[in-house]
Amino acid sequence: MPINHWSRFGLLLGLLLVSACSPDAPPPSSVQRVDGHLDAQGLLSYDPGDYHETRQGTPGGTLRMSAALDTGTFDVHSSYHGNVQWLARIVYDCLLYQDENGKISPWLAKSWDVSEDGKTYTFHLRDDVTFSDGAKFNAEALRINLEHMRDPATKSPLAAAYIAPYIDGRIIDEYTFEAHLREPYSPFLYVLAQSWLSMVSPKQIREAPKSIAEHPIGSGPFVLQSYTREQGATFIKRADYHWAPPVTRHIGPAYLDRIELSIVPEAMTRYSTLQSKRSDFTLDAPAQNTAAMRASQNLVVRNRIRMASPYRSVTFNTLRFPFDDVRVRKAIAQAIDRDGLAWIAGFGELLAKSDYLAVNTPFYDPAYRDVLKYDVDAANRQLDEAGWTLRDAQGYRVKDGRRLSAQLLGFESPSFPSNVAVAVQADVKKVGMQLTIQMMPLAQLTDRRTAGNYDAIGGGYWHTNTPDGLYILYHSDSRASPTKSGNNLSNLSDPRLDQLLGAARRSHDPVELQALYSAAQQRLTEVVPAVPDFESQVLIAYRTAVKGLIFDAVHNTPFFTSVWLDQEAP
Amino acid sequence: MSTYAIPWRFTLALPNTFRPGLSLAWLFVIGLSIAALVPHWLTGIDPLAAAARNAYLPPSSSHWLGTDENGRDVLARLIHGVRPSLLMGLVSTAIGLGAGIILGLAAGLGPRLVDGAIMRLIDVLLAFPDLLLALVIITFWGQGLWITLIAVGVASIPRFARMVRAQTLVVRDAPYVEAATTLGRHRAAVVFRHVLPNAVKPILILATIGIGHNIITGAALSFLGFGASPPAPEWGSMLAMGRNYLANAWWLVAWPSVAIILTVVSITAIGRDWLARSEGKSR
Repeated sequence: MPINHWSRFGLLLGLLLVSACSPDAPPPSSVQRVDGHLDAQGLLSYDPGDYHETRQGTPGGTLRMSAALDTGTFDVHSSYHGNVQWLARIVYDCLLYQDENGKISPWLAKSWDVSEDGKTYTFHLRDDVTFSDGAKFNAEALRINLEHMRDPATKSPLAAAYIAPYIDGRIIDEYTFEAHLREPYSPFLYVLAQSWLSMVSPKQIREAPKSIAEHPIGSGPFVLQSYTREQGATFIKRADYHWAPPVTRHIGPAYLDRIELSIVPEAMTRYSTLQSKRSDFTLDAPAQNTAAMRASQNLVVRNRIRMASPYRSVTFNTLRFPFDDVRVRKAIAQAIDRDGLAWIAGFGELLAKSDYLAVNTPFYDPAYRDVLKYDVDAANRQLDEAGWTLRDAQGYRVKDGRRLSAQLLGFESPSFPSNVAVAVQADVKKVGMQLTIQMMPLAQLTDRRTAGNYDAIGGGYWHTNTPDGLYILYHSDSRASPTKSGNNLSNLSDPRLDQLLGAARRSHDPVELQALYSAAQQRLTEVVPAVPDFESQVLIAYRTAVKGLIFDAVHNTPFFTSVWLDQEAP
Repeated sequence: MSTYAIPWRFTLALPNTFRPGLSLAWLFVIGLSIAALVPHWLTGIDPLAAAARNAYLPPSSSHWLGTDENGRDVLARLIHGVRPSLLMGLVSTAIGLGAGIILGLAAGLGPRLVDGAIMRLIDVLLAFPDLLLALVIITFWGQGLWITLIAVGVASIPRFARMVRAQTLVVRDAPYVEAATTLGRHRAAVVFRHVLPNAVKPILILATIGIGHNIITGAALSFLGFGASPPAPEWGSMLAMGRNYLANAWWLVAWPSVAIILTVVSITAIGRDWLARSEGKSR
């Protein structure tokens, strides 16, 4: 009955606690829990064996798995949901794939040519691929898919934007397709390897496009058997599948007979069902339970980093007071303790981050990783220099009679739980800034975003398999306007950054690309449109009976074609 | 009311019979009142002082009940969370009681048409569970402490209105009311001097128990994310946050649960004691 102490020991308690308040603990042990090898320069490399099958598995069995969220649709062209990354690989295939070094490699396209001017791409397709409704995969199927992605009726938030420079295509012969682009666009091949640009049956797109959402027909290793929104889905093996990406070294159909996917929003339940063997695999392992899972003999935890933009704690609206002043933005970036955020959100699983590209993205340059590092003194100096020298009665900085104050909008999600918002609020208060938090439903947040009515937005990441993710988040062309949507939430418009990112889109030369993207990463640490907090990470856990797990070289999410169950395992 | 029959001798003989449970309940409620009025007497720690690196520390000598998901002291947050919880219980019960008395009196004393109209309205409200009704109101008028208070209050109107009406119907035909009417007292005087006090007295006591009920409803709403926005300390939202960490930080859920249970049990125990005594005396 500890609470009865209050009334009895109240005063004593007050006195004691004032004196006993301990200073901040040292940073929580930064145990390297991420998969792969992080070298001294801050570059991450994975074991090549993570991406291809190393031994043949035993066919048969049902994999029971859980995920936190439902995508709500299987029409991946009309979605930007993160789960599409692994979900689409179960029922669909893509035109292209990537190898473990990030180079584009064949899948449904055997080979491809790019013209001198970078505006014409010719794809030579496999001639032995069929969809599960019997339709053939050929040049016409590819054309119909590209049309479906950009069809306004699809309302594509992602795929359409990724192929925006595509004008039209020409069918040269049944298995050769020529795509014409408006301008040179070097990320084109890369985006075609992403799950959101998977190939759907042309027959279904033509005859019943609405049915793709719940009864998708793809050419993938599994066929969807049943799907109940917000509850789960069942997939069964396709026996005649034999076109897994060559990089995976998998031959023939998938090993598993069935996959049963349950949608389980409660973190505790995902953990406890795994522990009690009522499920075999979870795609969203709760970070708070990973220590227990890692200690368990029967469970394996994997922690992978998604390429491109890391999680952001705050994205500033650079058009509005007080974030229209770059010195304020920089000060706030330096005031936020990223190690602390990574700890409260990730329990030692998340890698804190203060630059703008994930460590495993091609052309990542670690040279600027400490420019915006946590430094309260530097933050205070910045704010003093910016003229915020006076303080009001509550300790907040004031200039010209105006308090240094802003509102942070957020939506409760794994990337931005409300305790991260609260920690950010507490951190900036220490340098004299007032930040009020408003957590709201996603629909309301989207309205405010569209209207541009915000000082700052919390959360968000942008995963893509090229550093061109920077263009999508920070190029002035990516700003939203009443007529078009955009993901440049900071409304940043920096001519130098625009020039670098635009030039990178036109270049295919790795040396030039490295120079351009390095300069862009440096520039971002100078203009500070947002505060990255930790890497965008994929945390999964599974029972040791699950064997043969490899990762998708494009998204770093699980690739189920080669997974098998060791029936004898405990 | 009749389900809780205590022998009258027992309740009347209070000075001679020491009841430790009831005393503890009173002690606890007094403690709560202090915490609600002057929380800084009980703890010197700022309930909003977050330090991410101190998050999820188990109970220790420097943090008696541990720290939460932002490294804040759980005890300090519990103590500062008393005020919104009590406010929720008291104000929403007052709203429910006030509106319930007006509607119940009107229904009990008014013409049949008014009675029918009011009681059908009450029936419709009763068809919704309290929590659902409160959620509907919040959805329409938006989030915020005062909206939540009103929502919970409105949700408790039907209960009070029905009780007041039932009591009014009993009192209306009582001999003293008949006598007052026969003596030619003005109708309003009869209503306010004779009917109202006698009809409402037992309900005031039941309202005490309603306070506990409304604290739970308020905590449930805040658990569902309809309470004050973070970082304000609130028991329900502390619970909601803590449940994700049950397996590795049990103290985040344990203490707010204990606080809610003890508060509601204490208030209910006191209310029942009053009820039993009033029934005992009236016998």
